[in-house]
Amino acid sequence: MKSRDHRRLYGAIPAILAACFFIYIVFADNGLDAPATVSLQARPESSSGSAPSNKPGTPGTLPETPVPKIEPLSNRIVDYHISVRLDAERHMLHGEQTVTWRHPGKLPVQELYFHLYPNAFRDDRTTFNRESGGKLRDDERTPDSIGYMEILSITRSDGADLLDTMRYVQPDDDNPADQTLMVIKLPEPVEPGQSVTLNMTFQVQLPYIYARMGYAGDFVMAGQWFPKLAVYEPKGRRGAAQEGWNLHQYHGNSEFYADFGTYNIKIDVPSSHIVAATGFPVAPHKDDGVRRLYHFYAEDVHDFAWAASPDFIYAEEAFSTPHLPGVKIKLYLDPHQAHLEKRYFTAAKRALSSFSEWYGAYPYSTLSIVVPPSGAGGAGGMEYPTLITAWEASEAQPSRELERVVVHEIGHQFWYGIVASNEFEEAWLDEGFTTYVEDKVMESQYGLTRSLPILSSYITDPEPLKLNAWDYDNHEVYAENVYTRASLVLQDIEQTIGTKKMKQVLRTYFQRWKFRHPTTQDFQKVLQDVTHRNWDSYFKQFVYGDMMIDYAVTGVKSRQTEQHGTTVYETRVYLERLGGVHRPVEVAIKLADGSIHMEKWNGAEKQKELVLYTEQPAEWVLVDPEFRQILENRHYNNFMRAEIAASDEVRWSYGTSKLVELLFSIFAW
Amino acid sequence: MLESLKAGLFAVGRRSLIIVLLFLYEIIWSFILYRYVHSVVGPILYRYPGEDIPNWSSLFWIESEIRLLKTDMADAYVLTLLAMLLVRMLLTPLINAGVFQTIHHSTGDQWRVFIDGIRRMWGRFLSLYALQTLAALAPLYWLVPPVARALRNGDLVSLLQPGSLLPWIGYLLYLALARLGFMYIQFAVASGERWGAALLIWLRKLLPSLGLTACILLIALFLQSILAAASLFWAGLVALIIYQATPLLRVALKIWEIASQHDLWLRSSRWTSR
Repeated sequence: MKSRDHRRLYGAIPAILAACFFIYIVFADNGLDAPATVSLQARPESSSGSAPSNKPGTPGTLPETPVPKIEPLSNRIVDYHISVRLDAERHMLHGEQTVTWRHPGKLPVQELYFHLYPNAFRDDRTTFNRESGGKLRDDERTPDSIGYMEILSITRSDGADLLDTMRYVQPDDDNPADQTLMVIKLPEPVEPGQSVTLNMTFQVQLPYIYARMGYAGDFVMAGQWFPKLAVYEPKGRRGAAQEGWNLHQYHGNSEFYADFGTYNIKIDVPSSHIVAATGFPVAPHKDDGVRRLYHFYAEDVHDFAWAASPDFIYAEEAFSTPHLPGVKIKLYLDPHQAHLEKRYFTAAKRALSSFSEWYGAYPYSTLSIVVPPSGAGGAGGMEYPTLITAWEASEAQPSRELERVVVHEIGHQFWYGIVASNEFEEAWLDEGFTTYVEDKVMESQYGLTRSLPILSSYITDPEPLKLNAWDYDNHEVYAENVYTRASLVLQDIEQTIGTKKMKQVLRTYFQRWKFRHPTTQDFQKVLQDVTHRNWDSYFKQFVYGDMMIDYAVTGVKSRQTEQHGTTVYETRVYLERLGGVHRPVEVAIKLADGSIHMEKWNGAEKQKELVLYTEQPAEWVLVDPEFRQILENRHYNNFMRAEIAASDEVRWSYGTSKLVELLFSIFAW
Repeated sequence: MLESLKAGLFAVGRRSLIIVLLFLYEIIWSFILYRYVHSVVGPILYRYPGEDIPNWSSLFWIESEIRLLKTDMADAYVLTLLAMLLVRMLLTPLINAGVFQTIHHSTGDQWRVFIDGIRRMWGRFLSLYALQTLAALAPLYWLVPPVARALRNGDLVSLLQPGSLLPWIGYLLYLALARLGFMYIQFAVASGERWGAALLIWLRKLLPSLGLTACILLIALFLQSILAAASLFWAGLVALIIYQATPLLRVALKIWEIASQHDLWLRSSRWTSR
């Protein structure tokens, strides 16, 4: 008990520090403390890896109240300074970007790779559109859904022009029409530990939105909108045997993977527009009556997104709990749903407080919720660091899906934003975990539970959970596995080790891997460390393999016989295992007098024959009557009757064949 | 109309051999179909949990829906049924040629007339049947996509809205009309007259023609429902016997309809040529 108290005391230190920092930021945000904003804007040319607020050498700019020195939460490999201008008429972005990359490896690197995600929308030959058929979920491409990114110039900080070295690469599928990944060659290599700074100008044509980024009317969702550095993985990161670039194109099913860093972003929009963005505003926006200039800053995040619309109704609430030092929730509501403000805030607070209590504090000072207007469904239900989008505001009285999506995307802040797995290669680590924790909040906060047997029955195409996103047959199979099957696997683990232990597992995993990039193996390691048992067989079957649980009754036979001079019934039950093995199976046998006889089977053999002697014949057999086998996805073969009435058999067969015959007779003799 | 109905009934009596022949044909198909359906339905009945365990029963239905919509589970069954239908469709023009020939030639050895009809006219009846099938299936081009869409979205409720049911009722009416029109064309083919004239007569006599079919359909429905009720009531052996016997009734009613329509056509064409 004591040691736990101690731990709680130590745990409070970062919370207090963060609280001070939050107060400081709130003041800076409101423009009440002008000097503070200066220090926040100042960014060194070389990436020193420290927060701008405590950069040595700028003591004069510190505010009166000394701000505690805060260590960076992440390794801050990248540093972006971008000025972007929205041409609302032509749905274009014009950007200037200064990006600094710090070499994290041990070998010289002469090539830099950038993701140019908007090129996924260039035409129907891109890998994204080929694989997805030009749609995401239910949102389909329109003739206006053409988008692209053009790199106008690239120079190194010393002025060396690199534009001519630029070319597109397609490591995943050799599709020459795909321009979502670009490489540039430096005149000389970057040495380990050194940094390189590039200046780039670019422009983006926004597509009419159907897949995360684009426009719909005056609404703009800028996600994956700037040339974004790919991840150079040092040896050992995510189990890499050798260091090198982790390179993937933008796929129909895939999401993203990037390094942590800092973002200093100026966004210039028409003065009618309100902008929501990752991070926090460095100063109040400036408005000359024609254009409006926003300035945001974010650190220890691995992406930066923003949205703009003249129609946003803005509201904000400060929120803190004993487990959450303080966060400003910023809501950008669609007028159609103006009356739903409270529901959004409540959902966000319940999610933030639950996750912070269970896994660890939400470490950022803001969380922005953008509600896309009706017609911008493609923007909905998406997560970016400290910014999420809800479903499009097409309904005035939406169901609990409103809360569910907010809770889900906030879940992603933890299992994507902070514990930053590689979504290209192991999407289950964010989608599966997020779906699982979303269910936990919907259950504890809203009393909504989803039927696990039904969810499991929904799994008709099980595939390995650790699989490249584009290696799933299609989006349905991808979603069925990385969301639903993955969350069921976590539910199954919880059922095995208990709810309390499971929270401990996730908390340990979060604490151990926050601001880093874990793999499936790393999660298994945490699970084994916390539970002190080996999970190899389980992971091999259900995580790395495509197994589900499937037990079947294949026969039930009761016959009268003599035993010790009395008449008894001998019942033989034939069972089969068609899926994986995890825990023993219960078998219920109902007898003619209505009593239920329970049998247990270890469930490991491929086939099993149960024999029992009872005073009554068996009526039916049911495997796993209490739904303990969470991954059982074929429930219909769990049940079998010993016999059925001949009349029933005739009646159903007769009725059905009659119906078929009637249909036949319309077309033929 | 009543006279044609009477004449048709009279004709049924004189074509007993053909009726028995067709009855045998139907009963063989019924048997095959029943055995097949039984082989599919039987195991399902063993798997259905029933009222004892309601949560498992509802899961049974939900899982069935998921598997039907998401997997190719039903494909093998649907393909088998379609194969059966295809074989029957290939035989249909042959039977039509024989039947129409027998109806048109009231004299002579029925069997010989029937075979003679097939031998002489199978080609013409085959192309007519192909045309008729095409005409019958054409509207599905417009009717099926909305249903497929609703099924894909799992929106089964919308399928039962009056708005989505109405086109299907219209389709059934259309099928009946197309069938009658082609029947008159086949009368013309069997008697060596011109198609156009037969169609004109049909159009002129549309109301009595529809009346005849409606009358016989009503009688058929009445008899069928009595038999169906009886078979459900006395499930078991009685039901099986009734089930085996219904094709006889169906064949007789079908021949009755064709013969009555033929009589109506004959009277009108005589009247026309006079």
